[in-house]
Amino acid sequence: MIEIRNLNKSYITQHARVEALRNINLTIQKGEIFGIIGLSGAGKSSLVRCINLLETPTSGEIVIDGKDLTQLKQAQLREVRRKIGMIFQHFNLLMNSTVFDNIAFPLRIAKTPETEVQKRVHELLEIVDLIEKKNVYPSQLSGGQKQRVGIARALANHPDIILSDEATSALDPTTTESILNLLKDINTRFGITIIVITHEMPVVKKLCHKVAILENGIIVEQGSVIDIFSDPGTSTSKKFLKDMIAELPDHILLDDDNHHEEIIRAAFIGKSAEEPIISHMLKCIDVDANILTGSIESIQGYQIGNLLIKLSGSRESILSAIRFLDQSGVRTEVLKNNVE
Amino acid sequence: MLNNLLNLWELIFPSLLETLYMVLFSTLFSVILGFILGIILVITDKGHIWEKPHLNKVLGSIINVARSVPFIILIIAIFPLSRLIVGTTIGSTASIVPLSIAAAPFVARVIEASLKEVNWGVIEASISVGATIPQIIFKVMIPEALPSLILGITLTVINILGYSAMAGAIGGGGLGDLAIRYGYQRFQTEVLIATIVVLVVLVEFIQIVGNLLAKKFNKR
Ligand SMILES: Nc1ncnc2c1ncn2[C@@H]1O[C@H](COP(=O)(O)OP(=O)(O)O)[C@@H](O)[C@H]1O
Ligand SMILES: [Mg+2]
Repeated sequence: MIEIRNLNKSYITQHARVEALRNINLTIQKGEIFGIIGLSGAGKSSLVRCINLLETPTSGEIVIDGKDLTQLKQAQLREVRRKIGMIFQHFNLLMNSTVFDNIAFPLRIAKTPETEVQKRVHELLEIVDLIEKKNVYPSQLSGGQKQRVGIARALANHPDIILSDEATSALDPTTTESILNLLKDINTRFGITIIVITHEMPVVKKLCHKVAILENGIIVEQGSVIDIFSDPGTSTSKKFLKDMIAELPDHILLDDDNHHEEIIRAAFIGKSAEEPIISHMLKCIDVDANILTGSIESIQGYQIGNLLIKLSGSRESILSAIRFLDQSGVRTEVLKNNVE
Repeated sequence: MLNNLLNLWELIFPSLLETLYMVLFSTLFSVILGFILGIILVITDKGHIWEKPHLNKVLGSIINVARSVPFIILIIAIFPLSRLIVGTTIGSTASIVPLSIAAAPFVARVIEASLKEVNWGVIEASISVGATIPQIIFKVMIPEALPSLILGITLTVINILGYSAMAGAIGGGGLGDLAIRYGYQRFQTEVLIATIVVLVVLVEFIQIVGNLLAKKFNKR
């Protein structure tokens, strides 16, 4: 388990003091894939680099399995780092060493006997599917293959945790997909906790169990990915989800008749996304429902539907329609009405 | 004509050997010294793996001062040290002392420039797997910078060759000595030209070998 407590990080440059992280508190459970999403400059890299103390926190604690890393001596810290693999956006491989030697590097650094190094590197080459490239230099690999080498290197010392800083941001969509699959696979096979830094919501959607949204060095929202996708609470999370959740089009106007109209957003999660709740509602309650726009997403095998619905009818029937949806496990939010 | 050339060669050959001897050992010592200084310059720099701003500044200044002293003056200033180490101030063995010391600050800067080129991300990656400072220096920085280090050392060898000719002028032996004694003082222009030709060939040869080695070790 990783506990980040009251973490602050500021950088002092010639001109100014940059508060990159402000009072961060996070708990990441063992075996979890935890996403940290934010725009560029939000402080994501600072946060992930504080976890293995590549950056020294200005204040706060990084507690991993009960041990506060900020209190460790250099030698102890090196020991702990061997159990925390890290993968990078630009791979950071030794360009003058072969794939094999790159993967062997953490093992040799840890003075592993050479026979064991050979054995482990072959295991790793198999995991990342690069056996036939073992004697090749990184310059002869594609971006995706380089990242696989990076992942194998991160796995070499049987880590408990992997930190991934924008690991797929330099890759094309297909390669990204395969790298995300590999990370997911590593998480399920070896139970390794993975912390994923990204600015891309699809990465979180595909990979993460939990997510924290970082904005200007502050965590503005955190929770399970399903919850945040179905019910984004802050403007930042909505911004990240804007391609995925239905937005109210500007040109939609409500009639000024004497009957009521309301536009609501309805989020269907899990089972409720698969049931014909709207048609049940229409049978039970005397309202008209016009679906304006919507989508159904599958997130890690979990259905999340997002609809914008225009309800028309008497004021009471609209209220009971909303109550009906709430009771059926649909999250609703009124976006616009002609009542006020 | 042929006889003439043969005579020339007999005259030049011992001096060539002296020059090679001076250059070889001066390179060896200056590279050892320069490597140590260059590594310290890099790792003590701001934000690097062994940040020591004061040490970095002091060392940098000493190197700059040493580099700005003209070589001829350095040789004379170092005469006492040469006598202490090799027992004499004359001859090629004695020249190795000032040559090594004169070249070391230059080598330090060359090594520094090469090691600074190493991608910081790779160094961070090795910190993140728990590498120690010596491991980072010897298993990451030097191997990654190898082609550029080889070119830097090639440059050093050629520089020392030039310096060694100057050392010859004040009794250091070697090709420079020969050129001055025969070509300049006795007006034997053919000896002068022959030495220059030999030096040109030597420089070309060193550069070609250096380039080949650098290419061989560059896997980028
Ligand atoms: N070494 C540094 N020195 C000074 N400022 C920095 C440094 N690293 C990051 N910053 C600043 O801290 C803020 C957060 O940066 P970063 O953690 O890299 O964000 P992200 O990874 O989300 O893009 C930015 O304003 C950035 O300019
Ligand atoms: Mg970043």
